[in-house]
Amino acid sequence: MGILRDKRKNIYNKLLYRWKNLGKYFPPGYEFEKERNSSVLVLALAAGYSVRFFRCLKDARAMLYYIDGNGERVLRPGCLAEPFVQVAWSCFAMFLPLYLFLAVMMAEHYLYYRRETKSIYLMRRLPKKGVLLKSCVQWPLLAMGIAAVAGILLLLVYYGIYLLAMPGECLPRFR
Amino acid sequence: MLEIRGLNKTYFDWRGGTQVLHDVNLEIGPGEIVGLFGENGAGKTTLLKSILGFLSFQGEILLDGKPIDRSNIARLSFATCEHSFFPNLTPEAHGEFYRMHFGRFRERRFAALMDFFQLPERTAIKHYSTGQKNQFEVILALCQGAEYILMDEPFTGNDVFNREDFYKVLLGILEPEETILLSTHLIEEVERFVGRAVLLKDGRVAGDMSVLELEERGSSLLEYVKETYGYRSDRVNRALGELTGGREI
Repeated sequence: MGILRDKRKNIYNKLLYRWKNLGKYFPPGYEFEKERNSSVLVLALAAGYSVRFFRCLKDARAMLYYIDGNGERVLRPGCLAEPFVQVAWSCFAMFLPLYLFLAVMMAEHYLYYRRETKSIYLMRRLPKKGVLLKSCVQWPLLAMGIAAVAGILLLLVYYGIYLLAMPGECLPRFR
Repeated sequence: MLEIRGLNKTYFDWRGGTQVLHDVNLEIGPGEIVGLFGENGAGKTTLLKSILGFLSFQGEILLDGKPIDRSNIARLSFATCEHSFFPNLTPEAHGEFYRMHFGRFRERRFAALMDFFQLPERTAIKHYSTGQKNQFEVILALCQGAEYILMDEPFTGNDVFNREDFYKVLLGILEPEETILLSTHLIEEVERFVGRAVLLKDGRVAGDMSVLELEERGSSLLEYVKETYGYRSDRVNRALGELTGGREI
């Protein structure tokens, strides 16, 4: 029991250390904590917004049925379910502002080098190629990648749920 | 040898173009300490930034026969009154950054200068005073390991004792192959420090003379600058005379 607790504590400490040291993905000296936290928050909001898929799925499913004279729910004969893409696309709408937010962040990182001091003069004198560019785009690209993976995972999960929820005979030929 | 050949620079905006450098030709050899003088707007900063590749220009700038690019940019360092350090980093962190990016970073010189000027190593630079920030900026330029150290009015805001100390330290620590190109308005102060004076006027090289030649002529650097600029010392008295109508003040 104690070993398990220690292992969990170790993992927690490692994650905490990595969380606090994400500064290496930002320009040198950049106060990155706010942006790190807001990136995670916006990603969480985008993912959270996608949960309205269940509402959209419920509505799409309801359209396949009608209430007969006995008050029972009956499947409409020959009815085809709304394709998955149509059901799900609007649920991922918040990923667009997320990507825009991260793109703006790249510009903000570049402007940082021109703000309080002109550290841009130092960055442009570095012998190693790409250091300036890398410092501006690293975190936004990493966050975009994580958002893309999260989006794809959610899509796959929602698609599985769609297939389970919809009556087999109503599934459109090209889902 | 730093060679500048036929350097022209024009800034463009919505009103058109303004040429700020006109056919500048200059050669600066290793070990020289060159003062770059000129009135505001003469083109001093534009010249320095062109050498460092921050600005596009027409003409040629060569370092030992080769254009300045990533392969040899580390041979040049830059200290500017605008400051090029990271304000939220400590000197310690700057040392790590320079070590990572400049293979010839001078550790001992860095430690010695930080100690001499008593600059706190674990305080973020943004908490330094203006004078301390200027000192740190120059320290970084001196410790990068560059052969050509370009400085653009690095002592703006430093008191006279501070500046005196710095000139003495610079003369003491510079190695024979280290070259300084210093843009400054403090002509009388740097006279004992520089070996050569280059004067810029309206984007052109108006004068280029060694301090030794000036001494042989029996002229001071300030007199040479005034002469080259056509400065008339009686114009103030004449203007005052006109303003006051000749009455005693």
